[in-house]
Amino acid sequence: MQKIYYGAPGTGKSFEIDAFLKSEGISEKYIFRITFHPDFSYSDFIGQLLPTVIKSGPSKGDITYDFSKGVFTQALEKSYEDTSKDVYLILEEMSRGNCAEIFGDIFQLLDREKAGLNKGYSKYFVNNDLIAKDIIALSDDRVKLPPNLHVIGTVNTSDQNVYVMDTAFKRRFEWEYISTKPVKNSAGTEYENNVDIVLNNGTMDKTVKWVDLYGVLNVFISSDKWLGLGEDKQIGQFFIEFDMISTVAEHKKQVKNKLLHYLWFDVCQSSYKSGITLFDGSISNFSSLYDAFEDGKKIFSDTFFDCIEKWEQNCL
Amino acid sequence: MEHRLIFSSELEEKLKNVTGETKQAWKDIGASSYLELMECCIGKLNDSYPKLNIVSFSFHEDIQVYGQSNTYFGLIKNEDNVLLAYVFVIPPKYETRSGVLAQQVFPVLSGITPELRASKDIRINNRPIFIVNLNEANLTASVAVNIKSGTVLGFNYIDVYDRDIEEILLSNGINPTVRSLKDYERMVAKVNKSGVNEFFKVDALGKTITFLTIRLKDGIHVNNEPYWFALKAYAALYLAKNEGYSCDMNIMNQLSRGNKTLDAFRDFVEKTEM
Repeated sequence: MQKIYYGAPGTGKSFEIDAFLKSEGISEKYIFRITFHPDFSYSDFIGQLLPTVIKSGPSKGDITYDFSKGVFTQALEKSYEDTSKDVYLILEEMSRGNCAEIFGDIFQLLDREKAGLNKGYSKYFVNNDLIAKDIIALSDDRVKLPPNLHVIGTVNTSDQNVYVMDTAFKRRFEWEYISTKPVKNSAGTEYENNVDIVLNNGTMDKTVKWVDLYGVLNVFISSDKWLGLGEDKQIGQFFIEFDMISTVAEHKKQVKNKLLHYLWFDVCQSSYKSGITLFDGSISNFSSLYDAFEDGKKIFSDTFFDCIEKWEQNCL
Repeated sequence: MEHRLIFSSELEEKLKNVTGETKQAWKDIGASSYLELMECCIGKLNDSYPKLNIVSFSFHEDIQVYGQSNTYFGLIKNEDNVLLAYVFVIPPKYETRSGVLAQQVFPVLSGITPELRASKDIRINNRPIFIVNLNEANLTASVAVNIKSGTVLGFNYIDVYDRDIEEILLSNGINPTVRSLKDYERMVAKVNKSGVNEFFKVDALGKTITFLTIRLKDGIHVNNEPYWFALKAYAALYLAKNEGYSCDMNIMNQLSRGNKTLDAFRDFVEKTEM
């Protein structure tokens, strides 16, 4: 399997991967997980030669250079230990790293055989003696991925400051979209992560369920009728992971620090729509937004509150 | 990384009791005892496959994988005691007759392969296999074809007496190159007394391989024919699958189930057809 789960932040992409691994009963020793970031490099992923001081023997005190294995090499070694056992290499936040640089020559291995006895093995090998050196199953320095090594990634569709993945890289993965649609608990009775949020609409406090609030926000953000930012800026059900046994005040704090920051800096500042605003006219900067919400004052615009009303009447 | 080689105590007993011509053959390669012979094996394994880097060997009472064990079965483990490879020993002359390689490998492998049914890897082994030939008898063309069949299956082979399989095949008028199923079919037929391949039939136009039961019988086998069949049949299957052939199992399926080796083969073919 070579798959990338993609979608808005907080839609549960990592949760989906975890649920899959749990349902398959995969032991942690067969899971290798790494999060890409702008400074993550080929050397971190594959491995690098690092100086080591020899601690004993005739060369004691001398410096030697050992290959310190990166997560890719560790996962590859594990998968060749026993090719009947599935090994998972989980790459979180792939678009936050430069995939072309991180994968380097290993990119070629992502093409897998589709038929024959070699089905699932890399179609082409790459010569890399450092990766291959401790893998007995590879007779020389020619490296291939075995069929039991699965590479699963996650990509946020709305990240800023991200690296672009080239088409050649992207086409080597299956892509599965994780929508912003809310999910219910295993019994199917209630939505997960669904707490009460209190919003002041200018005249009174109004309690809105989180699932309704983020649902209205996604419509408001994406639709041309309002901010018109498309799907990229939407948020998922788990954008904020609420502690369900915490107090309303704690939940409010999470909304203030996570949601408002995102809405102000990533959503509103990206919109060029004139005359339509998410926030109330009294909000002129992030500081005033932050304080107004803290003080229980109105922060969202009347237009947005109209949307909440329509959502609750199923006519948005 | 350093590795160690582990063999069964039964093998140690058998090697301890070696006498006569076999012992003389050991002396010819510089080994005056079975322990020195083992050192010689390790030296050859490390020379041929440097990554093995085997630094020690030992004999143990109970070495099993998926409940399978055998006198000629050994294991390669790393410093963390992780099992990384299987080793099979072709024993000295007095221990075996014509079933070289098949008779040592398939009693164990026929127990391992069914355990890999759910594996994404479509191979009969989940770890690399190393074959160590300790048999000092002159290698016949038939034995050379057996060893060649093992290499088609991806087995790594070393001969402690440094005999060249390809030369043996050539000296018997057999082209040692196996690039296709047709090449292999010709090789197998050539070493049969009747000149006929009794294990499988290839229809190159229809892209079908039919497995035959000429040397097999329904019910309990008192001989090792199933092992000999398995070696040739798996090798042919590997080549066939890589060339896009489909398998005709109609003849084989007329045999009742009950033989571990043949059942494992039939189930494996089914897996490759999925």
